[in-house]
Amino acid sequence: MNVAPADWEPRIIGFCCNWCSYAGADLAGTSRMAYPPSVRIIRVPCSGRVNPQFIVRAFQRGADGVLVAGCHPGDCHYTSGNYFTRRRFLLARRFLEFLGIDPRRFQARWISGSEGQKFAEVIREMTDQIRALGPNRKMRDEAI
Amino acid sequence: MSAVETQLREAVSRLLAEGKVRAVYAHRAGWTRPAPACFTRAEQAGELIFNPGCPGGLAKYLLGEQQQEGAVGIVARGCEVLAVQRLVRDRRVNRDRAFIIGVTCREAYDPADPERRPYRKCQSCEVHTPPEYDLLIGEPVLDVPSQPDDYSDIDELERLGEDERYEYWMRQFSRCIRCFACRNVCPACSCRECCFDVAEPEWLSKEVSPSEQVMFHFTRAFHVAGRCVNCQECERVCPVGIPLMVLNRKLARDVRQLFAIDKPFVPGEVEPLGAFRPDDPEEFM
Repeated sequence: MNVAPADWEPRIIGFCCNWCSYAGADLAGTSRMAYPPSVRIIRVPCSGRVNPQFIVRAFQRGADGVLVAGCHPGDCHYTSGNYFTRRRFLLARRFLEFLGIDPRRFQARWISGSEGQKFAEVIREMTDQIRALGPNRKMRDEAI
Repeated sequence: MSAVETQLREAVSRLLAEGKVRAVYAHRAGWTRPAPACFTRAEQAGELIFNPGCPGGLAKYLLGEQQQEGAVGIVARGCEVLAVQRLVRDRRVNRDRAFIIGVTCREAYDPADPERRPYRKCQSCEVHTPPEYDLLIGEPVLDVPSQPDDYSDIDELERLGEDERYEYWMRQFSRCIRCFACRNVCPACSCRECCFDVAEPEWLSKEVSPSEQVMFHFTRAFHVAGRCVNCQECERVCPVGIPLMVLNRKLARDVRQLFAIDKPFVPGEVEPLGAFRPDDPEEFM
């Protein structure tokens, strides 16, 4: 049984692209928008930098959810990085589901630099979903 | 001795004598089953054997033959020619240095199977006659209809709940002894430096734990996503019988459905994850 300890809070690893989503997160912060402190942001040059192994590694090291956020299609700083991201994670999400990971634990979103509001909403929504799912035990390193 | 075997021996003997190839990879009789062999002299050709129980997996030997001038021959059925094509597309094998001795094939079986049941891939085979060759041996196979790929085992797994599916895969992966045979035989796994071999970054520790097993099997399967040629060698060489092709076929089916790639197992000019279309399915918004 997946019983959450009383003081458990979801831990989400958020891979944010430097040019859009990280700026979006920054905007959420500077605009004083409240969102749950459950996300730990890792800044990447492009969402295309995110290797699917990063997702598994995050779950291994104790993440309850993983978010990959990048520029909207057509807006990539490097022209096409996010199109590759889209193909890669369309496939990875189905594959993780096939291995038994709830697809709500791994999500990808397009968040632009002006969408601070959307960033806050995505984190709120994902935190609520993962709180309902409880702590992740799958793929997790037993030592952690 | 079959007619095909006789023709093969003659062809290999002639190619070696004429100096068209400096070696030929094929099989000879092994202790309990056909063993891979490298023939370098024309008079050795009499030892060559070929039958439906000869395993595939010869293509990777070509990797060791790229440093020297001159072509090296390989005896290959249709599915094994796809493996050679994979290595050529990946620019790991120079097409000029491979001489494909194509052999037509009706069906093949795993030499370790006493019942000699044909491989699953043979039912949906569309390459009874190899798609590419420098020399073709054998009669064309025209009377074997190819059936559509059977994904019923994957559908069955997908009907299970997530937790049951996770349990299922953990049970399978827990047997893994990390021998890397699946990687070593795979024609789609030919990186000069494999992420499992490098110490920094340490993608895979030496520890045998469920978490590390998932890391290995997730990575292996995803690295061949859209690149697998359905040769089923990974499954054949696995000493503990992990159904690796279920993972590979699941990914191939998704590649076909998501990116409208008609034949996911045939090496194309670009690989599905190395390309994109602006109108790819949008689920992330």
